[in-house]
Order: sequence, then structure tokens, then C-alpha cells
Amino acid sequence: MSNNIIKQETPPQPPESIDNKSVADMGNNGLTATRDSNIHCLTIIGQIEGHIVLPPQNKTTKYEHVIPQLVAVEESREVEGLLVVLNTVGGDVEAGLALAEMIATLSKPTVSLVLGGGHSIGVPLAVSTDYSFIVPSATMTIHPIRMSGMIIGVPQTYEYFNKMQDRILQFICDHSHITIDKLKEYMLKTGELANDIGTVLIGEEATRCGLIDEIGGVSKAIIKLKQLIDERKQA
Amino acid sequence: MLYTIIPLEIVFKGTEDGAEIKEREIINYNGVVMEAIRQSDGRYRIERLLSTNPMLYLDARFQPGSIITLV
Repeated sequence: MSNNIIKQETPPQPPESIDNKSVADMGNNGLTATRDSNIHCLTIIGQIEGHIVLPPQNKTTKYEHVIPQLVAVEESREVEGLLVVLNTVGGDVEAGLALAEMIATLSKPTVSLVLGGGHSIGVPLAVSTDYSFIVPSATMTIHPIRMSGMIIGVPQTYEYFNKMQDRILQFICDHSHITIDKLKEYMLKTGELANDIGTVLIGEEATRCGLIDEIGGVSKAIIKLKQLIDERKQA
Repeated sequence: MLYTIIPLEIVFKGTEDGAEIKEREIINYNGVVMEAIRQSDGRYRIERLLSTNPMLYLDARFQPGSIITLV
């Protein structure tokens, strides 16, 4: 409606009329008017999907999408910082660690924000950034790895599990202020989870043990990111 | 190997029982990569965008639920 009125009053503008025609004919409108932000936002939601395609009832974040996005963020001239927003139940170990390593090795400032939940393999992702935030209501579950299917009952199986677990724990310790002993204690704690061992850290508890840097929401995260961007420019 | 709080039997549960879940496709529409569900008329309904650019999410054309036509 308003478009039509404007058109009658102003002289015809060729580019716009071409655009409108293509919208009507082909549903195709050129992406020209998008404002660009110097902060990009990566949302990691649901299951982290790696080598195995998960059934469609799972909401997933796929590594083949996220890895190129991270490369694009690193290469882009316009993007100066990355906000990683997490609400994940965990997922593939290799994919999660791959993404965490990608985020950790970005040269641009990165800040993470844990909302809702950042469980299991979401923990290394949350700590992979330069600075991390968690909202007071969010939870992070630290628990041992489980395996489905046939497992051979030999000591090597246990060793393999231990190695996989150590990869994750080592990454978390390297990128946060928690000690490996504390982390292992949380992981093997009994009486916290129903029918399972492990610990649920709620908001402030995650900051108190040094896993997450600070309690805060989106505004704090953006302010911190802008501060890191300014520091990087001055350096 | 999955490291998740969701029980593995739920993660890998088949969809035979209960409601049919429509397969989401990854499409590229004007340079914007998105997840969409193909409608019976061949057009697509946007489920979500796969982009780190936050401004794209403010664009009215790319709101979830919008129907788009791929050429």
C-alpha cells in the first residue's frame, strides 16, 4: 500500500521497478538493503551433529555448516567479533571439539553466552571463547561419556573411554580457570543426577568453580565483546 | 561417539511411531543459506536461517514461516 503511494508521487526509479518485477515473477529479490553488523552471532542449539546424521526429530547444529561460517568470520573484513550463543544438550565429541578448537583459534575476539543449557560437549564450546558468560538460570551438566551398541568387555575399552574423556577435560581446563581435579570430581559425583553420576552446575555455580568467567546476559556479553574489539584495535 | 545428556535411545529413536516429522532441506535463497520445508506446491517454508549475520534475522523476508519460491 504505502509503496504504491510513494510510487505515484515520485518519479519512477528503474532499479526498484526491476526488483519488484523479479519479486512478482520469480520470488527473487536481490539482497541489497541488509545492514551489516561488525559483530556476528553463532547460535549453537540442540544436538551437535557430527559424523552421524541424526534422525529428524533432533534439532541439530551441523559441523559442516558451522566450520565454514567460522572460516568466513575469520576472513571477513567487516566482522570484528563473534558472539557464541549456546543452548545445547551436547552431541558428537569430535564435532564439538572441532568447533571448540576453531573458536579458540580465531584471531578475532570471541565471547560466549550460555542460555538455558550448555551440557556435555557444550562445556568445551562454552569455554573456547576469550571470555564466557552464563545467565543465572542456565545449567551445565558435567558427566562421563556413555556408549551405545556392543562394547567389548576388556580393559582397553575402559582405557579408550578414559582417553576420550581426557581429551574433553584437558580442553576445558586449558581454556577456563577450573582445575582438572575439580572437573573430574564433578564428573564422577554421585547423588546429584537421578540414575547417573555427574554434576549439574546452575548459573553462579559455574562461575564460582572457574568454569565460566562471569554471570551476565546479552548486553554484558556484547559490551565485553566491544571492549575486546577496541583492545585489539589499539594493540 | 555422542556426549549428550539426552539418552541415546531417544536421540536415535525412529520416527515410525507417532507424528510424521517433515524432512528439512538446506537451501540457498539469494545467497542466504536456510533450512526450509518443501510444501506440496513446490515452494518452501522457512524453518531457520543458517547465518552468523544477526541483521539477516531482522529482515522481514526471512522470518521463520515465510513462504519463498526457489527459481
